[in-house]
Amino acid sequence: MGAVLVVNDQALYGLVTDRDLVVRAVAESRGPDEPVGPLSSRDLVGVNADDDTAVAAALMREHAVRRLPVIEDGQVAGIVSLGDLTLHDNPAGPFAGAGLG
Amino acid sequence: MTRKVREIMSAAPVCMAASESVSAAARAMKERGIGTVLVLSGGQLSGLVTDRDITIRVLAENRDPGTTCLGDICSGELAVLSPDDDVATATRIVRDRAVRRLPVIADGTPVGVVSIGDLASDQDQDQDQRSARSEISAARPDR
Repeated sequence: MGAVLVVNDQALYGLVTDRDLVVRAVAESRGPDEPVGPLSSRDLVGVNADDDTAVAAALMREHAVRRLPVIEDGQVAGIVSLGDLTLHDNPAGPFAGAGLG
Repeated sequence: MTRKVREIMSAAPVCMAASESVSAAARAMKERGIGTVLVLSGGQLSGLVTDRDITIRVLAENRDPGTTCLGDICSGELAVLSPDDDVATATRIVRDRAVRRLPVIADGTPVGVVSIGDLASDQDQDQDQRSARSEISAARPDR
């Protein structure tokens, strides 16, 4: 898993990835004991749980992101990643089980 | 048409000595907009380190990025490619070894890196489908 959703009082606040920790903390000599909030990406683009995967793919392309929070009944229900879509499109393809994400 | 690794690889890989610190690698990743550095020991490729390796093997283990060397955390047992290898060979190795990135070596010198995203993009082109993931894989790696 390479991403964690950040919540504040049960409301979605942001998302932080393994890369965010490296370029925003380690590269800036900030320690791992700091709060995760300032390291998070804000202004997230979400997708509804009932949307087609094509909608998710279009949102990723439009906003140049690799992960979208999935919202169901106003609550965060999961994350869908670029790798998830790749495997969904071609489940028996060459990268099945390769941990693309 | 059989495509070659040289046609899809990211050229001019960033290489760092095994004795350099994790902090230095993190700064290089930020400044160059990359997620992988190749690690050299005695001028020879000895491994690679990704942004994810730094999170999992340094931060999550409470190691100090300022004093931990790349040689301490790099992935060894490295499979490598030649620029003249077929893309199908690269795809098979990525799948069989369950790795996401492969260094490309010519005459003992690192000349590129092939990522699983490069291979997925190439497959999309074969199918004449410019899909979302081709474009996103080519986009900035930090989102």
